[in-house]
Amino acid sequence: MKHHDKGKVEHTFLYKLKIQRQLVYMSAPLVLYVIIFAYVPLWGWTMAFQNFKPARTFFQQEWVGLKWFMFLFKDDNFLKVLRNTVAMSFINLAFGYIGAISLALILNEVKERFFKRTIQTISYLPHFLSWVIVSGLVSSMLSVEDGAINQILVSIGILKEPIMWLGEPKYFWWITGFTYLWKEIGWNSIIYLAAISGIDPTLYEVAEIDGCGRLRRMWYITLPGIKSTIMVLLIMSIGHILDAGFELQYLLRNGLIQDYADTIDIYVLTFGLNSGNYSLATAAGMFKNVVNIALIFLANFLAKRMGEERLI
Amino acid sequence: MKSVKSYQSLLWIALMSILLVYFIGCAQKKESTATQKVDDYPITISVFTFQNQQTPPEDNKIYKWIKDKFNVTFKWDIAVGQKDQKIGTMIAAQDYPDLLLVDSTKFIEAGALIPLEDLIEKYGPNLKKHYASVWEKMKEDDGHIYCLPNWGVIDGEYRGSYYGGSALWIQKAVLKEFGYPKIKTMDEYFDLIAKYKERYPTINGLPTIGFTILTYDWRAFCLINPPNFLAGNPNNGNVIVDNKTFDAKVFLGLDISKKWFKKLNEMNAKGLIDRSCFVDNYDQYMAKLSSGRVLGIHDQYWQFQDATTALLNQNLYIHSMAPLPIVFDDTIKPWYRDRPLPNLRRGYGISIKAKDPVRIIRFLDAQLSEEAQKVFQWGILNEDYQLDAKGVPYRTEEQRKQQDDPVWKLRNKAELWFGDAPKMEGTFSDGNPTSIADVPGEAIAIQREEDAELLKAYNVSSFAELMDKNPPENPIYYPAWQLVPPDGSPAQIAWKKAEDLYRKYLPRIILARPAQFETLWEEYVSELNKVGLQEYEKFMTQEIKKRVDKWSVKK
Repeated sequence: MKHHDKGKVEHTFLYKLKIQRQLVYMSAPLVLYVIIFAYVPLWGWTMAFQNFKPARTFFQQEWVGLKWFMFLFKDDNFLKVLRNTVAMSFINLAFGYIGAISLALILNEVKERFFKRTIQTISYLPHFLSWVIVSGLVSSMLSVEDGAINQILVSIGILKEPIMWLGEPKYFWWITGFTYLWKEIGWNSIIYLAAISGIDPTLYEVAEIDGCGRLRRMWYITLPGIKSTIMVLLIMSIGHILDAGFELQYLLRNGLIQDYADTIDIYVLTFGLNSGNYSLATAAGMFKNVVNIALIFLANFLAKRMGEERLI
Repeated sequence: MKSVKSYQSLLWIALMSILLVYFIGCAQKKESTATQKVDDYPITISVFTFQNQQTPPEDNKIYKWIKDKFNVTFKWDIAVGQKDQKIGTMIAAQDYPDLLLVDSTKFIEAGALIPLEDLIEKYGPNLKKHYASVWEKMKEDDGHIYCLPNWGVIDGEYRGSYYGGSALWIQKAVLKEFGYPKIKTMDEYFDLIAKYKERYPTINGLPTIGFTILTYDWRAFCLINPPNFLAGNPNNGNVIVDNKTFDAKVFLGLDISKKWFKKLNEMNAKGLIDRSCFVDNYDQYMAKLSSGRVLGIHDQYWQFQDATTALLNQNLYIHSMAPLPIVFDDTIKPWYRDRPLPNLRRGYGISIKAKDPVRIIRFLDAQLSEEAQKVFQWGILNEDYQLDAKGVPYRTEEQRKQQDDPVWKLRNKAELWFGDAPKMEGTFSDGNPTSIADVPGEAIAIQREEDAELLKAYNVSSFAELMDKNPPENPIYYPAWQLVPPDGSPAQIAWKKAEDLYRKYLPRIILARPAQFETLWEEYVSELNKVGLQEYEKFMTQEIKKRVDKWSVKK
């Protein structure tokens, strides 16, 4: 481009546009979709800087600057919620990654096709359950009265008397972690299995001739083979670190554990919609998104520094 | 040839007869539309409600009657789960159906409702007459009426035997087992429950639950309200009101609350409290009550009466609940039952998005006619009830059974609409009670043996009388629970914080080992003192005084 003069650039741009018009037609609806549903709603962020009252028009609203953001960072509740969100998110991330990758590695070693398929199907079926059903399952499994978990633990002598799992703050993060693991492990491992199937089989043969055992082959061939997939997925999920989930926590929370169960999304909901403080809720939601975007760029930058696959 | 001809003639006959039938049919149809008076042009009214009910089926008898009579059909928008969320969403989107069920000032503050007083003056003679006695009370501070109270406006004479209010409830089986003892105090109440639980560790194969508490969402008032009643105060919601100075005081951290939660804490140590109630939702609570293994609760009857029906249909009626006016000690006079009062600021209001408010008001007015009210409350004549020679309604045994059958009711009653619509309570102009259950003959006929025995043992005629034979006159401002601070006000924020606190602390306090009770209680009270509940008390006192000023002059 450097060598062309300005007129030529315009010419080539229009020319390009003309010869690629079919592509333009095809992408136009999608661009429109993104504008309408992803960019126009950003207008709503103005609420975070107002003392928003639903009955007034935009011009009648009272502008309050950064008041709500200041309020957020002075609010004990918000800081608690932030802590819970980050903690649960890390637990989910760690469990999710280790679980899904291990499952994929193990399944890859299974040579009996029928068995492999069965395990795969069984493990990803919970993905299709709604959170409402899952939370019902979890709460009845953990019930203090007749929950299966308590019954088993008591009958084999680990517990003396049943524990109220959902009433003890210290267990809650782990309960959500394991629930996420159970629900998503099979589904998440599919993409790794696909990546693994793309590895050149001759590599395995060579390694075997060189005397590598199963574990070594996993370590030196399979894992490096799917490293780029792992990195891309990691970057993508780091961008969601402040999305620790909403439904499960919301459905399982109660007064006893609310200090550990509430996430940012629940905070937004209770303040914004239940108590009608839309401005505060918008500020909290906006904070979450800004942090998420910053984290994506950070992860991407780090990946670039380490010479790995990047997303952007 | 001959056969063909006969075929042809047969065909002709068939054709002629079809035509004939068709014409007759048409003629009849015309006739029927001509005789049927449709009062108004057709309209579909969309309604927002948070009544915990199913959408009625298409072929529901009474909704069909409404359609034929008033040309009105409903489109229901039923909020399940947390209602405030749904309300918040509607307000944020400024997207409202025609009719909104109001239960706070949220819709009013958001400018979602239109003033009704002029519409009623012009188009609603029945409404005007019905609400005349409470007309001034219905007005908000700005002088407008935004919603039509759903309950408690009495026409004629009120002889309700139904008790829908607060009480400490005890299973009828427990009272029967011990020969219907007279129990008045909290200690006696729990002793009786403990004794019964010892005797019957399981009921119908499931472990007996001594006492359970509804702690879910806004229904959690069952957790915090009991001390107020035990101390002999009427239902003023979250506050105790001094009836001379009209000062409102939050009782969450007062000694009366300490007394109650200490008792619960001790009872938990004895294994009488249902531990899992703190993680249960409303459905789980109802399931427990419907299984007949819960011996005691504090609640308001309307909230769990479906459990009674469920028990009845399982032939476990003796395991349903009876209300008791329990107090801390003998020196206190119970004040659970109150006089009928208009349920202000609770009922339907017309939203700003309603295209045809006049038509809606005309319908609201028409459905308040005695004819319509009889259809809603009694049913269709000679299908759901009969009239005897004196014009008094009665039901057959089969018809009475139907009234207890939820499946039948879903298809043959319009409870979803009737529940929060303006309605007649008391007596009709012919002197009959608005509720068939209050017709003396019917009241005896539908009384269950178990209830008759219980009421006779306590020498009263109804559960309402069991609570209080002659409740005292309501204070002028009463009840304070109708007063809710507006969203975003300091009073509301303080209360929200207190709510977070009691939801967190009270379960812990109840479940703690008795030795820890004092420390936890002190921690709870000191946290409570930090949230600025004075703001809430100030708001309540001010609103109560406002009511006293406004309402006592008119009297």
